[in-house]
Amino acid sequence: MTDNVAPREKNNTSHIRGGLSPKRLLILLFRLRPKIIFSLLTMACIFFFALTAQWVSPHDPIKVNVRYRLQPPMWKDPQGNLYLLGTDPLGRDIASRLIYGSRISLMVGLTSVLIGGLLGLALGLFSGYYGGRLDDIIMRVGDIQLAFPNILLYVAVLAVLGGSVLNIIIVLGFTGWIQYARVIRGQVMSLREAEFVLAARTLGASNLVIMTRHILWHTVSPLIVIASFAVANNILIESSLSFLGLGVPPAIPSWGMILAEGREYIRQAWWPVTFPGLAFVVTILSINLLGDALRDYLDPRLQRTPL
Amino acid sequence: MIAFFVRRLAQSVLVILGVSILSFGIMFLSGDPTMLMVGEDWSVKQVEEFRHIMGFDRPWYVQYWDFVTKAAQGDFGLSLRHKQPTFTLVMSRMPATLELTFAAMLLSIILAFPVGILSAVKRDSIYDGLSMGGALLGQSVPVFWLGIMLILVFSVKLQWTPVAGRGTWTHLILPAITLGAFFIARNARMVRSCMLDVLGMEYVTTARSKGLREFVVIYKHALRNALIPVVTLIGLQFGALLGGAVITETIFAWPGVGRLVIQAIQGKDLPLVQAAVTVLALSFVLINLLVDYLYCILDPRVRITGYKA
Repeated sequence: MTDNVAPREKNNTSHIRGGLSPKRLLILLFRLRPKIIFSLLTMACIFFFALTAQWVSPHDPIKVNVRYRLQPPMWKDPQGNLYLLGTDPLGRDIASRLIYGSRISLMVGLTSVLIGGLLGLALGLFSGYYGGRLDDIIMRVGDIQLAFPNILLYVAVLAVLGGSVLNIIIVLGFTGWIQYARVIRGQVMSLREAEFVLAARTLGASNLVIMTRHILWHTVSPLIVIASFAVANNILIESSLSFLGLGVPPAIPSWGMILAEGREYIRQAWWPVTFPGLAFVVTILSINLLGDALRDYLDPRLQRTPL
Repeated sequence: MIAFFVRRLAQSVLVILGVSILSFGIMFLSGDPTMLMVGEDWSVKQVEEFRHIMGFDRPWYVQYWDFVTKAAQGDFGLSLRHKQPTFTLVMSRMPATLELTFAAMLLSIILAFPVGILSAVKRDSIYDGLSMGGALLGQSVPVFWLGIMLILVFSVKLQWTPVAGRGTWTHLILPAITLGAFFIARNARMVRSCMLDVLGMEYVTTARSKGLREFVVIYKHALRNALIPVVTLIGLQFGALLGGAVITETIFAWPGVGRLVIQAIQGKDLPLVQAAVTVLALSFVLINLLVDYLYCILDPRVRITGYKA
């Protein structure tokens, strides 16, 4: 927050602004330059590594070579191959494992948010638009779910279902809906009686058409803001679960797993635990910065959703 | 006010009912809880006997009723591994978890307030930039990595603190910082933004224009009003802290409920997992209720307009 490029607007009564057009995005980019550019560049790098892992990673991420175990960063094997970030307790190249691990992080983060966001969007729309009994039931179910400390819920469910990438995505996806549903419901309730909705109704538009054509697009801004923070959050949760041994199975390199494996050897080597963490901080920070910037621009009043 | 108290209590009862359904239902997610608990080398006969002992061969509604009525009396069944009542096991680990969560919460309050207030008062200064940059960083660091880094630096390299376990106050330092870091960062940002909101209010301008010293304006007029949303948020953090304790306790081998859950999962001790999760969720519901009551007492406006989530 060292830059003052984006002053928060005060007394902005219509605090939710319209959708994102390319022009608006461009304005956004220039107004919030330093933060946005840092985070976009970082994310471009991460996506690049994730998509091209099989070509850019210098070594095989799962090839065990016990002779080369726990070699420090910048180490070269007798053939002169460089191990940029050193090797892990089983002699695997940490840099390659991190590159492959970015796939898991991104996949879990994005797909779980997609599932949660779509589910929350649908439920929030119905709940806000129809109100009444349906609204009561949906919101009470959400309250109950929120009454459960998140991590505990994930831990308990994965303990029963078993850890796998798919199970994590399912658990995070299907528990994430409530934060979107709440905000969207509020938006829809305030829009339900708006003049343009009444006009559409007078012209004979069906409920479904009103919801999808007229109301839906007004809920996009808060949805994007919440979703951007949720991606960061879900990446963190996936890695926490993998770290606890409940997430991704050991055979697949994921950042949380690399950390957990390195932790046993913390007295002998600092690099297996340090680099995955740095990868996290940079990733999460850039997503959070983007989320902050989006929120400042789209909706100065929306508070960051609690963990 | 009494109407609010009663309504909120009724809401909590509903939530507790929901918690009981969730805790009970989780066991059946895989279809058959028996198969999760038995060893791979068990014979069919042994499995069936075990199913009968655990009562899994009864209809689900009988099992649910059984679960709820027993849970209400503090009976969550026996741990498969420890052969003791799970509730006793969980409660014996509770003091350690509470000690850790309260230490982390205290830390987050003590540090967040001065940092946040100063940031708001010296808005857009270098101090503000640095502390809010630090706070953003603090929110982006994964709990488990922070814990490991602290161990690496302070326990392994400098050898100032013990690596793990519970005992003296030196054992508590690193786990409390680890668990509290995220909340220090978030509370500092929250305090800052609440203070900024309040500092723009007219009564603050009034206080200033009648010649009060800046210190009095900030602490007596602004801070008190800025406190209300912050207090609620801090209260609600307790659940996240309880959840975060699972990870922190595992890293530091802290003998709390969180570590018990992870150990129980590794030992396929599902009754123990169920009991621990239920107890933690119930204490979370209870704390939320208390926070809301406190909020209502602190802020008279809530009594009139009613509770808003």
